[in-house]
Amino acid sequence: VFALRRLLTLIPILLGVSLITFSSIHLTPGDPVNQILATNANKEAADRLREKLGLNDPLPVQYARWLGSALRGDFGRSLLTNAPVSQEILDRFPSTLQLAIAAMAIAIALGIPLGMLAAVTSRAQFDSGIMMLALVGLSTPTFWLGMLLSLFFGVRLHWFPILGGSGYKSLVLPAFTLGIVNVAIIARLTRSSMLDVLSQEYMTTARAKGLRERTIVIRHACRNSLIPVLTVLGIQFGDLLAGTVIVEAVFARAGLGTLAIRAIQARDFPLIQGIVLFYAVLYVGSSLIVDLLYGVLDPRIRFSGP
Amino acid sequence: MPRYDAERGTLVFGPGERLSRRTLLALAAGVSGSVAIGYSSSPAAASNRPTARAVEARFQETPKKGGQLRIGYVEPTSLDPQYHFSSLGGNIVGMIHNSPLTQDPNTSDYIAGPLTDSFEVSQDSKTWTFHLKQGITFHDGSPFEAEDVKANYDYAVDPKNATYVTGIYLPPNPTFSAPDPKTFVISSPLPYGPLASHLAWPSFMGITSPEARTKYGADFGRNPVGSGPFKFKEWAAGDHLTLARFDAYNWGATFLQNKGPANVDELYFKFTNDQSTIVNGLQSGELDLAFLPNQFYDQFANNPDYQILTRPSGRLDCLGWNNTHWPFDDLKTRQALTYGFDKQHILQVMEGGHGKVMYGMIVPALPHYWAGEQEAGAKFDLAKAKSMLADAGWSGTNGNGIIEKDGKPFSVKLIVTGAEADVRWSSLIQAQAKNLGIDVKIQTLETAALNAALTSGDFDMYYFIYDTVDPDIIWFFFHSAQIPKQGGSGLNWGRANDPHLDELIIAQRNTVGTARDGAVQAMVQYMIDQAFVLPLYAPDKNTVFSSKVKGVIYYPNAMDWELTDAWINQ
Repeated sequence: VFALRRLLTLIPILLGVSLITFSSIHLTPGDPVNQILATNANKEAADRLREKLGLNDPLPVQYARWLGSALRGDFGRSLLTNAPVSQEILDRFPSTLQLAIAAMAIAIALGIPLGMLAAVTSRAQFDSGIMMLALVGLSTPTFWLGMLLSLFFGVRLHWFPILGGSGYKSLVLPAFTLGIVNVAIIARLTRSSMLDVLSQEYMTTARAKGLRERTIVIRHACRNSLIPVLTVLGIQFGDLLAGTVIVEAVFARAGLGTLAIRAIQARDFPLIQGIVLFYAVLYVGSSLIVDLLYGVLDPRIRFSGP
Repeated sequence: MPRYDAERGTLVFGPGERLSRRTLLALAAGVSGSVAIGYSSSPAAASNRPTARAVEARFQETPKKGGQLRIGYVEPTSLDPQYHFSSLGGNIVGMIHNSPLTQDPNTSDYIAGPLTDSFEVSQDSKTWTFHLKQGITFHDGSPFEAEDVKANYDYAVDPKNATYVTGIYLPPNPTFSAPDPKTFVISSPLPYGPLASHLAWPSFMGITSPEARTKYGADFGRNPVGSGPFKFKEWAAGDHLTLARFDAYNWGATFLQNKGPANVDELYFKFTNDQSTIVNGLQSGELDLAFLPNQFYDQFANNPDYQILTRPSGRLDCLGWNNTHWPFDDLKTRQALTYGFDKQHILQVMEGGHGKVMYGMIVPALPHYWAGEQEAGAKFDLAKAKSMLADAGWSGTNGNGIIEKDGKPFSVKLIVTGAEADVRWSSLIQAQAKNLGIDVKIQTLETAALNAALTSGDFDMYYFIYDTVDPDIIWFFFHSAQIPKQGGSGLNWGRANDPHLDELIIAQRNTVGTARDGAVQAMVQYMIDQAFVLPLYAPDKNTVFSSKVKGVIYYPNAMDWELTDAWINQ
């Protein structure tokens, strides 16, 4: 019931998003016909194309026409490629999803243990060493790291392919490039959240009961300290899905990021609209999943429907 | 002259070495006794004389069949010749389709192409008759006939179809007819000069199967059916595209060694827009072939694992200005500026010196190039530029280093995109303008916003580049009918508005064959005199490929490759 109510809130969100996207595209200077024809946009060809694409109609008419078909599940065709918008998006989504999941897995697998280690270690140098690494990871520009990794592991060592689309091996370098920033974020967050939990009174109680430190950390502190981490993971996952563009370019991978950039550059209105709506659904979806996971981690958090 | 490299098995056009079309055209006319207009229309013409390729053949090993050629490339928007917009990505379309004519890579002549045995042009140059080859089929097995060419071009010029390039590359108000299955005729009320070079560009003028167009409708761009040496296999959006050899192919152009099916099994195009990614992919062995920007030339030049083919390209880089805006509405000021920029230095920084400094608006790789432009244009001379600016009424009196006229400082806005090359180029212009006492303010705009500014006229200077196959490009960019209006389109961004220029543009457009040389020369000369725009340089364009790849042919305008002869030595 909770999930259903959350899904219903999608409707006004999507309507709002589509209206805002539509207006902002048309407020930005740039004309799709001139972009599509580029240096071939001579008057005759451009006028014919503008007529054919229905771009001479008033904006409200164009929006209403788009909304009308969208409600029937038809998101139109890309102005640039003439392929159905839904096909353009779904063709590339698996690749983006794959990359985001792989990057997330790396971020979780490295970030959470590192953060915990930094929190519980008694040696200050170790703690600050990990945090220093995290800071470096956080400040490294993705394109630079990507180039560096492909030069070293691809061109020099030939360990991994550097061009995307050739199986799971070609996922390693881009996923690592994209994941490393999130390792840093998650490690830092896990550490502070862990420290917070460890200073709670029930931790003192646990210690007073004579429990071993390892049990305290793993059984008692872990679950509680992961709730804020989970929240951020949800948002990060959305960001990973949306923010793959640089990595896609460096490693020549198909994906929504490059599609979105191309659509915006071409002022390809139906495609931009489709991508933005798709992202909106993804964000709402991933935060919904996080909300549901809260209940798993902490039984006190339960949602009751009317 | 280009030299033949026996080890590489290819013709090498070194930097600065150019194929002189004029010489070769004269040679061609002498040998083949071709029609008065100067195009060799007989397919035998090319093979009758000893060409560089024929010499090469004797040295070459026997081509091996099979394998996949992996190419780094830009993703096309569509595979329909009539609905894609850019020469980028166009080569894929050109390999799937044949067009009526082709350009001989050895002589630069326009000759009968894969689809035609011969062609002739009427005395009045208004009627072109093409005699089609027998036994050609489309990839779907349906036979190719004159009616198919007619159907393609009728579709292209029908306003309601709003085709992108094909329609505007055909003569205005044309009539297409197919008197019999093997004869196709184009006639137009006026002679149309660019027709030969346009028809030799299969990326845009390629013939598709009319039945397939009807069958697939809006999805035809992803299900192309042509008659070229490669047929469409699969397209993984955003990632790659594969073409497979068309086994029935046996109508290859005369200059090919292999007129039958291609040597390689497949062409695999890996998509990327990022040049460094292409370079890395070549070096990691994941790619076999790609265009190579001049800035990466040295990285491959002395490496025995790679070969480079270099051609002067159909591209020209210019400094454009808004001829209606103060101070560029003043002829004397514009003329002074033509002496003020060190083009060689800009060519050096932008392209590592690979190219040619230009004074005229038509580059050597295009037909009807006028070599006299090198003498006719203004050579870099800072002192002369300054004195001419003074003659035009400019003076620097207030000591801030910026010259003024009528109390107004020479301060202008240059618009470019944020692309690395644009930024580098604009800072060079800015620095050189400063030496003249001109203050150039650079405004960086996102691509579509830049286009909007060019269309609306809200700028003083711009970075103008064309990349094309014919001098008629000047009609698109400088005829007054193409001056854009607010909210509309049109490519005359520099807003040259000169009735005499219009006449000269139309004259070259309406002249066919060798007579067009003079018409193009008059147009180029007038544009130099009036300084509507400042041509800077024509960069070379390189193709780089792994040493195990042989037989790659690079077309004379450096726009496309012909890969029917290509094979992999493995």
